[in-house]
Amino acid sequence: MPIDLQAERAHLRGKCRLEDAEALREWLQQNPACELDLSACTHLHSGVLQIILAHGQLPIACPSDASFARWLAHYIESVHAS
Amino acid sequence: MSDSLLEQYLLESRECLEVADKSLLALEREPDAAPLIDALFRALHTLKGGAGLFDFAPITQVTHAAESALSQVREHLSDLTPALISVLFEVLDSLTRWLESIDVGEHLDTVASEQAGILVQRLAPFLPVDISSPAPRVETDFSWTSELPEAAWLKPNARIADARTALVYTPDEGCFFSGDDPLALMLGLPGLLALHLETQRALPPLDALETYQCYLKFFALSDASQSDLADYCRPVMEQVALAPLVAPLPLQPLFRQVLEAQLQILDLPQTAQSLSRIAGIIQVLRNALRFTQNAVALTLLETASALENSDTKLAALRSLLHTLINDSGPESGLSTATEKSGDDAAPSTAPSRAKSASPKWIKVEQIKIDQLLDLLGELAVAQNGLLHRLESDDAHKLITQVRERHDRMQRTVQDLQDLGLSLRMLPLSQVLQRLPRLTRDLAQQMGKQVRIEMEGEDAEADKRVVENLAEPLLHIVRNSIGHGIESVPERLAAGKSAQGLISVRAFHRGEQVVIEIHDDGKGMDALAIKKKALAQKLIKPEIAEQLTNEALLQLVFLPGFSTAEAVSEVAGRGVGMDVVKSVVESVGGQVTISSQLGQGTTVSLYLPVDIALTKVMTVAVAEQLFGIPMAQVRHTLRAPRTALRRIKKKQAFAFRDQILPLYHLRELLALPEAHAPAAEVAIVVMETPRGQLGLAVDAFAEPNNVVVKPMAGILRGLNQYAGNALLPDGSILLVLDMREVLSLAH
Repeated sequence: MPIDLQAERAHLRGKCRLEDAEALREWLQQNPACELDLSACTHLHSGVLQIILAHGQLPIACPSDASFARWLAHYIESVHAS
Repeated sequence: MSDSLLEQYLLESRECLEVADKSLLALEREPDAAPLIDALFRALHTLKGGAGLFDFAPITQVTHAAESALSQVREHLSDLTPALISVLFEVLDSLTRWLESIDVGEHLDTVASEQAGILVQRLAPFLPVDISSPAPRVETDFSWTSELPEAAWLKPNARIADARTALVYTPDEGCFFSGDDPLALMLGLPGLLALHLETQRALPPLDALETYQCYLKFFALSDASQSDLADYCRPVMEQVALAPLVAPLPLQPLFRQVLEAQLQILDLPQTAQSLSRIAGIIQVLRNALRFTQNAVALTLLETASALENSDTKLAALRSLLHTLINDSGPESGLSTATEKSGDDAAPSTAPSRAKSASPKWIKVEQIKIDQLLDLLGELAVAQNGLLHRLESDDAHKLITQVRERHDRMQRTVQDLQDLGLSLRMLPLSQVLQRLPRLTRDLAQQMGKQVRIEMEGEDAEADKRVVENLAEPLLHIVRNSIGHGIESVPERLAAGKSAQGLISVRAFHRGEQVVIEIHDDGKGMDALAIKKKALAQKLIKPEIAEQLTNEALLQLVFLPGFSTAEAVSEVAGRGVGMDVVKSVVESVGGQVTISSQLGQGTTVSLYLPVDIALTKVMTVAVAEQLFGIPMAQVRHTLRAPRTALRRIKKKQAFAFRDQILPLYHLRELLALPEAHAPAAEVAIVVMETPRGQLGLAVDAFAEPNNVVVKPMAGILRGLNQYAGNALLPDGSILLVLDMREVLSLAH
């Protein structure tokens, strides 16, 4: 499964699909202070992205593609702030 | 798709465009005329239908939008405003250009796609709000492109100048249910440079968020073309808006093409036409640089054009062109044309239409094909009959019968020849019909009021003559509007009506078709022309003094003269008259100009009706036969040698109350003197641009219809001969180029 939800950290790996979105949302609701690790993530479905944006916390590790990592970090901050 | 189908489409499209152009011009005067709107609509619809067959996306896109805008007018939901008419004219111009490119085997490239995008964008205000269109929606608000955060640039080191197309993607709220992943779609966008993200509405907190509802909205910049992005986004097209990033951007490749073409022309081998070619290049460059508002290059150009030494001038132009071509990248000042100058460019597209590639097709009436087959049938019968007669033993009877058959065959062959020539005939309307549009555009561009009246468009001439007329007519009308017809205040002050008039009259006169283009403008000042010609050393003072006002006006046809813009301002005539003269003469015609100061100017083109066969007058000099084109012959007479007069060093003779100068063909061609001069002189009275004159020959022979072939081999250098022709008895006739021959006299 691309989303590995552990006690205080969620690892998103490979391609995260829309089917994973609901599980992530519930987990984030229950663990608002948890950490997200996207270092092994190669793609986020738009549905998953929306949840990360709504959650509004920067991941502790971003995807390895530097441009995309910077992009994601910027929009998590700006969308959540708006 | 087969070539013949494509050819059929191109043929049909050309007709559609003609109908559309004509309808739109008429609609400008009568915007409510429903039949005209219908005709225009149908023409666009037909064009669109065909384009779909061949997947000519830009044509489909533009015709669809234009058709939608017209639908609004047809259904009385909006008016046919001057603004819409103006955009529709641009649409027709672009369609013409694209179809011409397709006709010469070119593909509609990305430039065409971007132009299509611009046109659709211009049509957007006239379209229904909710147009269910296969074409992408058009985004008009680009403010976000200048406010992109640094992080939005996904491609390292990319800048806004690299972007060609902007895209806004507003996914449907329920798009996840259709399997869409908007982010994946955007990250895979061809040529993606930057991606900006916003939400369609404020993102709710996690507990209120609908997981299967899309809240996102994307803004992207790409260096791919609009059509490439349209192809890529096809499945979600109704949620995507696309537009070329800046409207004038496509000018860059066009501008470069124009420059490169000039460089090629400059590198052509030097000939007698080089001077007018260079003048043409300078004019094209001047227009292009003004259009792109490149003041520095314009100054360089004017400096180069003022150089007197032609080698230095060539070198300066070549260097300027090279600099411009290497410099016409995205960052150079050449590409800074504004939206405004884009509008100004519209009229300049009309001339390019006038120069359209000559059609490879001729439409032939069914009845002519039937006549052709009938005549061929008769010829076959006559041929069989001949064979049959040969079986006869009676030699005398045989000769009679063969002669009779020969006479019948001769009539048939003559009919066949006439029919063959008539197949090549085209009505002048083919070129004249472009003039109203040209007049409209130029008058609008120059802020003048001009109307055009035409008469005799049905007069016919050979295909090659008609096709070559487009450029001369363009120059003449442009000059009439630019330099002849005055501005409204000037006209009113001169007691004229505010609206200037250009009247074009075509008619047959003998073997020629004459086109007169008259304007009621300020006319030309012969004395100013003389002064300038002297200042430019184009004419010797002693000759200038002898010239009549009428003859002085003809000086505007000299290449050196017409390139000097200052002159055109003084003399009321613009550049390009040398081009008019050379093109008209290349098809065996002549051009003259007459003018009355304050009253207007008339340019007359005298053109041969057919050029496949030339009617020549055969004359004998020094026991040799020569042909003189009949079009220039007015009369023949025999005068007693004693009737010849001598005025100063020249000979003259009386003809119908006039004294005409007389030249001896024998002297002009440097042929040996006759041993015993005859008591009578045979004189051919000829019409020339400088007026009538007499040409003395030894004897007249029969006029003949001949096919004139150019001189070949080493004889090609003999300029006084237009070519040679085979006479019915098998002998060779040298046909004189009278202009060259008479220049020997001057």
